Amino acid sequence: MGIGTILLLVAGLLVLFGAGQRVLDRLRLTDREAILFIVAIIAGGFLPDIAVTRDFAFNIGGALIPLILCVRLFFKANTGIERARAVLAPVVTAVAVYALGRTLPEEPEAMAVDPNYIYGVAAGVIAYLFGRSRRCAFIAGVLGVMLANVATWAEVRMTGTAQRLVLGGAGAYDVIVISGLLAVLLAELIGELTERAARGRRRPRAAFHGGDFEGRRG
Amino acid sequence: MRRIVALALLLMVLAALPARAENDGDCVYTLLDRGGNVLTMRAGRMYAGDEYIAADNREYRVVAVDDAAMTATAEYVSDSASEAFAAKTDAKADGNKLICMYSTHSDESYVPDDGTESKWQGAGIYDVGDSLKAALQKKGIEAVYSHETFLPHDADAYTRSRRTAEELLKKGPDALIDIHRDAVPARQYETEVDGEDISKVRLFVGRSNPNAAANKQFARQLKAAADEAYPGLIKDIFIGRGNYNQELYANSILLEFGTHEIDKDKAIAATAYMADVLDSVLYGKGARSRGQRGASTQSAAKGVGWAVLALAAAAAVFAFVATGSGRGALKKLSRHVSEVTGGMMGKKEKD
Repeated sequence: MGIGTILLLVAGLLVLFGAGQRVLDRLRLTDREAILFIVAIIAGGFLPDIAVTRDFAFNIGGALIPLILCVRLFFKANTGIERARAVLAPVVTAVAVYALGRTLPEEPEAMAVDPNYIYGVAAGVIAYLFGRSRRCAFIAGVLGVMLANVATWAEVRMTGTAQRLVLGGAGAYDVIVISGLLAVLLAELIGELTERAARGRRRPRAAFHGGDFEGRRG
Repeated sequence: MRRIVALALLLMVLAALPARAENDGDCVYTLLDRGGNVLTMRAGRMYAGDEYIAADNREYRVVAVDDAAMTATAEYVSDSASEAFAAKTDAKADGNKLICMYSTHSDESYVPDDGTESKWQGAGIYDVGDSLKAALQKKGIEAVYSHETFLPHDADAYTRSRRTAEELLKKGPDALIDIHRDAVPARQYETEVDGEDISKVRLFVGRSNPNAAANKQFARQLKAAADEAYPGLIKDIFIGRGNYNQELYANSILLEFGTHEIDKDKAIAATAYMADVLDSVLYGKGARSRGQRGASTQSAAKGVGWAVLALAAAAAVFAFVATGSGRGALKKLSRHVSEVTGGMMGKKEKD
C-alpha cells in the first residue's frame, strides 16, 4: 500500500472520527469511552469477519461494536417512550433505506447524495421526527441500515442466488458506521436550526444534557 | 404522531413499488463538442463538470447537458501530455505482485453469448474477469478475482461491493480493479489490435472522491502505456460524478470491457492486452518512477487537504447557523475544537 493511500486512509479516519468523537459525546459517553469505541471500530475493522453461517458473517468494527453501542444506548434510555422510539425508528429507517435502494437511480453519478451518505441523512431526519433524540438517531442509522441489508440479502437468497452478506464488512468505512455518525450529526444540525429559528437572537433557554435537550422544544 | 404515521405509510408505498428497472441501452447520453461532433457515448447521464479524455488524448469538460435530447456538450480544455505518463523506469522493488479484482454489477452479461444483458447467476462479466485473472497469472502476477455478488443491480450495489473492496485491500494489492461492461451500442467499442478483432476498454474514474486525482493519474498511466503498446485498445477515460469506492485506494480503477451488445469473446480477447498493460505500468518498464510516486503522494495529500477543508467549512456553517453571528460561531468552534482535541487546541469553556 502506497504512502499516499495510507495518508488518505488515516486522514479519512481522522476526519470521520474528529466528528465522530463529538457524535459519541452526544451519546452520553465520556471522552474515554468515546475514544475506546472509536479505537474498537477502527481496529475491529481490520480483524477477520466472524462467520455465522456459510453465507452470513459480520465484521467486528463495522457491525458488532456499533451494535453494542446501540444496545448500551437502548438500556440507558430514561423512559419507556424513548425505548419505544429506539425500537420503532430503526424499523421505519430500514423501510426507508430499502425503499431508497429500490427507487434511487442505479449509478452513483445520478444521485444527488452519495449512497454511502443518503441513508445516514434518512435516519437523521426520521429520528428527528421521532423526537429529536441523538441517541435514537444513532440507533436508527446503525440498525436501520443493518435491517435493510438483511432484508435485501434475504430477498436475493429467496431467488436461489447464493449471495453472501458480511454486515459492516468495510469496517470503519462501512455504510453502517457512516450512517450512524451522520444521523446524529444531522439530528444535531436540525435541532440547532429549529432551536435557532424559534429563539431568534435570544440566548438559548434549553440546555443540552445527557444526549438530549432539556427545556423548551423547537 | 400523525407525521410519523404519514411517513411510515409513504415509505411502505415506496417500498412496495417495483424496483426501478432500467434496461441497458435505455439511458445512453451522447457527448458532443462545441461544433456538434460526436465525441463519445456512455450509459448514464452526464453532468456539467464531468471530464473526458478522448482516445487522441484531447481533454474536454462537460459544460451543458440537454436531458430531453440526452446529449451533453463539452468544451475542449487541452491535450494531455501522454508522454508525461508514459513508460519510465523502476519496476516494483520487491517480488510480490498482486492485483485484486471484483465486479460490483454482478449481473452484467453479453447479449450475443449469454442471451440476456442481465443474469443473476453465471453472469458473463465473470468470464471476462476470469480471463483477465488468467492472463495476469500467466505473467507471474498473483491475481485475486472475487466471485462475490452484490445483487440486485441497484443504488446500493456499490455500498455492498465496498465490503469486498475493503476485504481485498487487506491483502495489500498493487491495484484494485472493478470489472464492468458498458451499455452503449457495440460499434462504440469494436476495434482491431494486432490484427485481432477485440473490444476496446474504457477507463472510468469517479471524481467525487478525495482520491480522484490519484485515480485519474493511474488511469492516465494505463492509457499512456496502452497507447504505446496497443494503440486502439483504450477507448477513452471518462471522469464522472460519484466515488465508485475509489476513495479507498489510489490505484483503483473501473474498467469497462465492451458493451452488452458486443460478442463476449471480443471482451475476453481484450483481457490479454490489458494484462500486459497492467504488468507494464505496475511492474515493468512503465512502473512509476520515483518522481511519479511523489506525484501520487501529492495527489493523495491534495485529497487530504480537500477532506479537511470540507470538514472545516461544514463546521463553520454549522456554528454560524447555531449562533447567528460570526463572533458566536468562532467561540462555538473554538469550544468544539477543544472538546475534540481533549483541550490541546481551541478554547475550553469555563464552567
